[in-house]
Amino acid sequence: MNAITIILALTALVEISIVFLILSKPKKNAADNIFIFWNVFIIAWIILDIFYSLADSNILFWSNATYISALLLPFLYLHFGKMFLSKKDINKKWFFTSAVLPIVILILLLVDPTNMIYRDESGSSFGYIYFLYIFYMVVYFVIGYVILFRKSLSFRGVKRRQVNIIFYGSLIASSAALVSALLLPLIENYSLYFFSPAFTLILSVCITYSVFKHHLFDVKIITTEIFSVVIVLISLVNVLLSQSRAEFILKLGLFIGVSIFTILLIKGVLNEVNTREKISKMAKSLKKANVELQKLDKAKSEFISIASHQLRTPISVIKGVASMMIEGDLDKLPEDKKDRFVKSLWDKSCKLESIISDILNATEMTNSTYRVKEEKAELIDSKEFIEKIINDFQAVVQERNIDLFLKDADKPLPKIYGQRQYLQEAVGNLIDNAIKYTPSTGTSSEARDRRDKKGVVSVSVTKEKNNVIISIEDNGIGIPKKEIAGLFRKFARGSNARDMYTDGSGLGLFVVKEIVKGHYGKVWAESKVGKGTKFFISLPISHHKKINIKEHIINDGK
Amino acid sequence: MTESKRILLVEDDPDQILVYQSKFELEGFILFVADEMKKAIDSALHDKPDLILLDLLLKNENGLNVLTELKKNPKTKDIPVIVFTNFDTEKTKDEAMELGAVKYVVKAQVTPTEITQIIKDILD
Repeated sequence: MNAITIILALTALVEISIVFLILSKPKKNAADNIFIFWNVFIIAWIILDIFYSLADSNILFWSNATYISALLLPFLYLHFGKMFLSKKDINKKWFFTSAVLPIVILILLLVDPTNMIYRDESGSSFGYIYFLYIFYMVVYFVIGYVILFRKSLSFRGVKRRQVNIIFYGSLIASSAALVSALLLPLIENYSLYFFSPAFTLILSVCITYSVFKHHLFDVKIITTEIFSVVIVLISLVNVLLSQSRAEFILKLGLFIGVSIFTILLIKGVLNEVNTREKISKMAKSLKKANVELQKLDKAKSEFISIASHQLRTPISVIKGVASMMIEGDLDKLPEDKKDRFVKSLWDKSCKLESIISDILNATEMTNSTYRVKEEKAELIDSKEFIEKIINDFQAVVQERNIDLFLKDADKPLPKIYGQRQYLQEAVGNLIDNAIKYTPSTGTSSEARDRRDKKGVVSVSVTKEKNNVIISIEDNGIGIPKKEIAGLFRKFARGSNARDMYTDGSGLGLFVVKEIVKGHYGKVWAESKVGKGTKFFISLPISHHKKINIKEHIINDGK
Repeated sequence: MTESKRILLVEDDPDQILVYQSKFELEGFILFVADEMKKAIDSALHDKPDLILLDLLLKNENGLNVLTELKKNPKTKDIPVIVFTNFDTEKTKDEAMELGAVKYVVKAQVTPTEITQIIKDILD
């Protein structure tokens, strides 16, 4: 047992423990797997080196075997560099192309073994494969350096440090290994030849450190592991150095004891790592949930401040009129004005009612337990569906003298897929909107009195590719261009007063948008001031994913 | 009050205009109504109101911008402005007072008579 063998065995043990450490990692990525192969090949190289250093015959065979075992290292290094911290899959084309050269060398070594290196007492002779081998090693390592260097530049912070550790580690390790194993022999210097696997250990340790670096405590574990392996190794050497049989048995017992203890220790430590990792993951998800909650909380308080404004507006009119009645002010007014006061009482009461139902709907939309289920979605007959909604508006349209109808009602119309109750709400809100903004002769509003043309609101259902489009068109006052963009802006964000204002509750369009989004659809508007507005709801014919209105709202808040 | 005071009501809801206009006229005020920012500024310049009642939610416009404009112009900056709105958050209130409003009144919390009294108190 000489010094070289001990160093090589020690290196192999560290490598083996690294392999187990990586194997114990809960989620292994491509880089981890490449790194396992890297270590396995180094272990093979070390074992063959031990045989080579001890061999008396078959020198050529053992020598070539060591070269073959180290053959894939630059190839693996290069791909490790490419995959480290990368989310992409291995590029197969690039993987196989880069495998050509080492395979060629392998074949050459197998069919023409004498043209590698030949050593005897008179010295060494080098064949062409040896130079090809050096060329391959140098080129692949250099490409590997460049990949890692560029990767380092593309990252910041912890990730950059992780890459840098590997970059510098590999620069030192591979240069030392190349010089000692391949270049020094060219000048007949074999003094460091058997140390070259030990040099690669620098890289393995650097990679291991870096792979686990995101948790500081893992550094401690690696140290523990290496330290315990060294102890096991020392006790093993101790066994081999026994002088007598009794001593051998005693020391062997001690060695077995130490080994068992070490295995238990490492196992325990690994368990702890897993637990801590779980805890840190839980902490992370808690943090995320907390941020989500804060967002929801903010949206809720904004929602409340807006909702309270919308509720107060009709109340201020109702309260104002009532107080003037009580105080006798109303009696001082002319008859026609009195009628308008009573009418405004009625209008605002109706508005208050509709605002309350809008708020209830909107609250349901943001309720964390609320979910729309695919099981509740159905194919809806659009003629029957739209005509039922239109029917609900009969009283209003008659009073305001507006024509409200479904276009092409006599033709077959495409079916609508979704949840009836919600789509009814969405289409109803848009029709309500259209009526509100459309000329009429039967209303007290001064703005409406100015117009003389008859109000027309038409609903149509058409099919376009894989979508059914429901459009609601009016010939009303229209919406200024710059206002259209803001119409569908999420209500909860309207900290700026002007974004909140719509003639109605201001919540109607919010509800429409959320319902349509919950159905994987789109809603938009086209308008010309003075000519009218056309709202569109586009709904996919079928849903591939589950409808989940709540999820959509939360995502929107990000 | 010896002579009629001139009040500018910046408001865009017809029902509210009806209520407050009727009340203020009964109280003997001369009333001007503006339902958007440009009209409000014009009226403040030309109708020479003694006091302005300003709603914050105007069509497509934030009433605070009207307040900023009024306070910028030397001709209108001394007219007392009561912010008269149903929008009620601490932040908006502070902002309005900082911009130079004399009072911040939430509509639904006062009757027409009460707001008339507030106006009279400020004008006296």
